[in-house]
Amino acid sequence: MIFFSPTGRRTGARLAAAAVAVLGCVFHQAAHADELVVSAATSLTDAFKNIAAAFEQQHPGTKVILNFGASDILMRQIANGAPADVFASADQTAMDKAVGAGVIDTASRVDFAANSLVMIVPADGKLALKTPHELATRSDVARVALADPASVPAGRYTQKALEADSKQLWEAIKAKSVLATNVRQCLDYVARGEVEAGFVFGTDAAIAGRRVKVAATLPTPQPIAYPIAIVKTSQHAGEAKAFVDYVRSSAGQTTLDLVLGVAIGLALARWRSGARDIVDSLLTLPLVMPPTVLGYYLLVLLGRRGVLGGQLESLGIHLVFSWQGAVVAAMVAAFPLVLKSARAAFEAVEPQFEQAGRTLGLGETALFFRVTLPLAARGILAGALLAFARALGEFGATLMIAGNLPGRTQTLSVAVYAAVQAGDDATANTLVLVTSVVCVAVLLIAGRLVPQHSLLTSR
Amino acid sequence: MTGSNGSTLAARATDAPRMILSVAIRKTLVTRERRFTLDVSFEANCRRIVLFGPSGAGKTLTLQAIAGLLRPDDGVISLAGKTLFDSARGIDLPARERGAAYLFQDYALFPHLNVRQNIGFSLRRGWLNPGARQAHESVDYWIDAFALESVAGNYPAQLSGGQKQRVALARALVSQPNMLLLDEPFAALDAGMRERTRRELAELQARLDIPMVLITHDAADVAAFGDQVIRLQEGKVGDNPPLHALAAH
Repeated sequence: MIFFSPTGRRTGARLAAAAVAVLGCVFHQAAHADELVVSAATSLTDAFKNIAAAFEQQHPGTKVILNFGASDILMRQIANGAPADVFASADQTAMDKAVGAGVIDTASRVDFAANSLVMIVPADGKLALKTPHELATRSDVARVALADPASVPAGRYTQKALEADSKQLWEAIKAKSVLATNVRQCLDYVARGEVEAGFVFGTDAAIAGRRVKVAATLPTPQPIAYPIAIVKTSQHAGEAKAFVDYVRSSAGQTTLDLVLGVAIGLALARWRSGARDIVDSLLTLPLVMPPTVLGYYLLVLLGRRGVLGGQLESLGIHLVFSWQGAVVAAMVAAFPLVLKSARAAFEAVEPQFEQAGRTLGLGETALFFRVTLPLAARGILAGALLAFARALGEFGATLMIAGNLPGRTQTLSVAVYAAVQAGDDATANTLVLVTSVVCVAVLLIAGRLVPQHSLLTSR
Repeated sequence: MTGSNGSTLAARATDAPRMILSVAIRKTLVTRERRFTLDVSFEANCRRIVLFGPSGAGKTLTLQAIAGLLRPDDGVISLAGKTLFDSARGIDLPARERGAAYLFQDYALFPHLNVRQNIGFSLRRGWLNPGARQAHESVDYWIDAFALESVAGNYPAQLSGGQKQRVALARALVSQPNMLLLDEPFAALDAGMRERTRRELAELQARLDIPMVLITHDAADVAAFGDQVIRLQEGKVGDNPPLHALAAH
């Protein structure tokens, strides 16, 4: 946590104390009776839901609370004292980090499932892509979806697999990459045809069913294995061990296999009914709902296969994964704020002032600039400030339509998110500081722009 | 009353070029609660005309129609032989070209401009307002004439009622209008101030020799300015009563 107040030390200490108290309550809640908190990688979502249900049946009285997220995020949560009992990671790195943080009962660590790394292409893709090398060399391959190697295991496996072939291959593909914050997002980009290809786990590809094709299975230097372990501070070591054992047991393994069948069936069902697909896509995005919905609509509308996107494409305009897309997203998200404020401000201008301007010889255009606009300025400025703040903080819609391309479509808040995810606190601090300074500066400038007298009226 | 036949009225207006102000208009306003028909017709050849009547009689609507702020459904308005509005001939001079100075009941001083800027407002053309300290001969003249030097840099919110009225009057007069329209000019002033201002305005009008139409529901104003009194009642011109009868009210 960062405190900018000059008296930050004391305030910070008090806040920390308060936070501990609150966390204590949460912990107390979570630790209630026989509740088992399992933090698991996003790619385990479907499998662990089934496992948890089956486990609860066999262990009446124990409730499994599932917490899904990118492995590194979960690791950081646990390292920071989140009340988890079991941690299931999508790769060894995240688990190693957790072990390094001293929060894992190392004796309990075990690999419970294996997976494969595949290169996928859209099912109706016109480019017959067969190998990662084609992604690097072919000029008609513009974008490749990649889980962010800084924080997502699938991305790390991809990087290692490609680097094992050659450093140049990795660099070439990285140059075309669109970074996803989790593997499901990566999958979604490919399924929608927004990218020419992507790298995901075999199980993820299976979930997407007919919408994607597996073009190649990549050999990985290390086998892809999901490690699971009991968190050291767990108050439910017994239940936690039972759960880990269960995951490893045949019942668990079967469930993992079963999930594939269920997932494919589900994917087929979704294939016919688009509504569920939409709902699911929205729910799996770990973002605030309204901007996400907005981003989704933008993607549907402006994407390569969107209603408008196709036509824009033929005109040579690409909005998805471009800075123009980021601008559109921020604009659409913030526009209603300006519109509403401006409308209210204009409505508040007494028509008498405009009448006076007319009798004093002003034409309608001059009237607008000399009377109406200055009288409405404060309200419009307030709206513009809100819009600016909204655009600055724009996250969900931007991430969806513009992706996360550092230096190109990365907005401040996306950059902060990415930095925190990657554990890069120094960058995060800098960005947060920059954002805060910009916001304060905007408010100060606005205060100067609007003179005091316009607070008053002449009535 | 006449006024239902636009072409006849138009002919009459042009036949009588010496007439200072000729008004024959109809306007129907419909709100959810009520329907109001303004059907006003009068000719005035005096320099000081008073529109007299109770609230809601249509005085302000008539004044706005003369100024070009309200478009009548049909009819004719002409001033000194110049047609300002004629529905039959499709003439509707915009407010900015009518040369009518309009003094609003609560003055409508621009709250974002200081006294100097308000007065000089009509002298500056284009999309920008005059500067806060911009000097102009005519502006200085009126600031001096109305004793506004001490408040020249103030904003309307910082002025007294009398000062506001003088600023509004200066703003209206600075562009040398050919007609002065005053909507209840003394209503917002207290009794003592009202008497003094009334006297000053009478002197000013006499000095400038500018045609003036004044709205009031105060018989004292009628006595002071009513060279010709147009009495309005429920949107129509009533019988013009003798002046002494009004003054006796």
